[in-house]
Amino acid sequence: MIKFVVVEDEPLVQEIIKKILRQISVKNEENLEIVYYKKYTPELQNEIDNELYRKVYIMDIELENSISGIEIAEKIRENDWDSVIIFVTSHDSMFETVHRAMLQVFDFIEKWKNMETRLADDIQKIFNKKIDSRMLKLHGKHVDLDIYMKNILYITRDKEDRKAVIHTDTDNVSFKVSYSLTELKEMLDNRFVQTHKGCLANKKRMTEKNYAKGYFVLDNGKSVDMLSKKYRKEIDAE
Amino acid sequence: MNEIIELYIFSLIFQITAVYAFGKIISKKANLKMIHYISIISAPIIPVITSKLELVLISLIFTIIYFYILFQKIYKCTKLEARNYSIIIWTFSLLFDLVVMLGINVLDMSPLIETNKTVYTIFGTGMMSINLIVLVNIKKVVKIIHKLSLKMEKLKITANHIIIVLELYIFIDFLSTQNLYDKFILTLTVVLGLIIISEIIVFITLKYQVITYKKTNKILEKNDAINRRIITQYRILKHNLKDKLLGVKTVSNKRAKELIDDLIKEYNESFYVKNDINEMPTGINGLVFEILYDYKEENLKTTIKNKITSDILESVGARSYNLFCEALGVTLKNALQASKSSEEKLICLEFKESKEKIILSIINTFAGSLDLERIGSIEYTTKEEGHGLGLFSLFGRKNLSVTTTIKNNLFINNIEIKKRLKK
Repeated sequence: MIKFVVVEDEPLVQEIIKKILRQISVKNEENLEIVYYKKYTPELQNEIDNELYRKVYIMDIELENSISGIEIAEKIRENDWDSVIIFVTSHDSMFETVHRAMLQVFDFIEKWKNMETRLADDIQKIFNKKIDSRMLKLHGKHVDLDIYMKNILYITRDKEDRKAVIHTDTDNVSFKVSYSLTELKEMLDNRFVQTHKGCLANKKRMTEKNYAKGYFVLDNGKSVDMLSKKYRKEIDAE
Repeated sequence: MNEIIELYIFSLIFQITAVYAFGKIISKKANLKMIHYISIISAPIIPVITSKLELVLISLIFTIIYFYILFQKIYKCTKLEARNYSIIIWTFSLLFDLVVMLGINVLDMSPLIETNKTVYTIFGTGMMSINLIVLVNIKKVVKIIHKLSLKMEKLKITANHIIIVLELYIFIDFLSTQNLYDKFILTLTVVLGLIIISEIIVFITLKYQVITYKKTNKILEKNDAINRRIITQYRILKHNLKDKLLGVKTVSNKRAKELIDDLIKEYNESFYVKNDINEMPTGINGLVFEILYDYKEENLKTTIKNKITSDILESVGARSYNLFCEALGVTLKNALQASKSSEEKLICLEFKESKEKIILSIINTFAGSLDLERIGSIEYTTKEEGHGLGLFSLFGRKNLSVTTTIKNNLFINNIEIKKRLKK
């Protein structure tokens, strides 16, 4: 069951959210559990700490006489990376980009701009598909790295440095880490398969496999020459 | 034994005189309770013991601390009043003692004093007490003391002041009791004198420097406020001009429209003004602006959020402030370098504070390859050669904490600097 936690201090906006959730509930023939808060309270913190449910937080950023929605989101993300966060607010776009990535915010919706339609669409999307927010967490000497598994394309072995290289889908960003492929495979979920002695790849991001020529193609069009027949069974397994 | 009793009685007389003088200065009646009587009677034991053991310094320090506490309890006065008037009475007694000692030495009366110590003590303490009583009964003198106290309120009395006064006392005491015709004693006196004079000169120079810095800081703050106002006015002007030009554009022909577009473009590009400069704490904004200015051609998207309401310099102190600025400079330059090569070109600065510390988060996008183990280690850099010492130099610094986290394509540096403990 999904629990909805609404944190909004404007009664009118709270009413609109209530109405949308009721409509979605009827449409999907599902009883929704919804709790409302006007600001950050110890009860809300208990809600955040409760790990029994996967939650959808619909929050305002500027909350009167309280810590902001962003700070509440930071508290949520201290332990919980599975719940969904939607901000209903007015904000500048750069601020949105940073926090969207940092706090894995599902959407920033402007209050007085198609709010009803957009919020309804978002909630429907949440109902339709499982939100993928699993992270790989690694530690360096001075730096910690948190990276969404969905953003990892493949991982190779750098023979010279004897380090693993994690290739991601953003800005050609890659990370050299002092972990073995075996260690990383244990930390990752089953979407990652061994495609070669020196390569782990994200199965969900593969669009083409050519065992004869020994390469696979990813959804960003990049081709990687590290596909071995030896691992075919694991790769092709559902 | 007689000597101990004499010393005790004279210390007691001085204390009672000091209590009386304090009451006269602040024009309040003493609220004496049994505990205060016991304290006044028993406290002179300490100067007696320290005098017998020749621990003059301890005796002096004890007296001033004791006066400070005793006056507060008896007269229910403020801490500041107790502090200022205790120091004035204490300094008066010291000066009187020194004048008497110097007089004795100049008049070569030391052998006479040696044989008649009691007479000397009676004379010294008695004269001092009588003088003190007479002085605090003269209205003009009390007025001068009040004025002096007001000046002392502005002056922060530090350990340095007390140390210098004590050093001077001990030095003059040494002068008055030693035979200056002895070559060794004379040389020692000159050396000690020079050391104390140099110390006072250094102290005064440093004090003067601090005053100059404070004045400069005030001027900078004023300039900063003016600049902020100019920026706001500039923004309004730019906005209005743009609106008016767009208005003219609606009634212009094709050629004029093109000219107006060119004009707006040129106008937008030829000035670099960070609107959110007003968001940043004073002082820090200049530093950030100067660093950002070097990257004005890079089209970086910067966003600045400030939740700090206190004065950073005041709350962390000058040394930590410099450290904070150094860390900000190093981290921000790193962030800008990394961000300019990324697709999103984002830089976000967040200034926050808690009770104990000032926190700055610098968040930036980046591109390319990073070695997790080597980030922050000596000579590792993603920039040009010779730029790798920055982040490394910030680790392990006292009062400063720099933590780095990477979340996907966001590089997050948190700089934390401890606030000063409030007295």
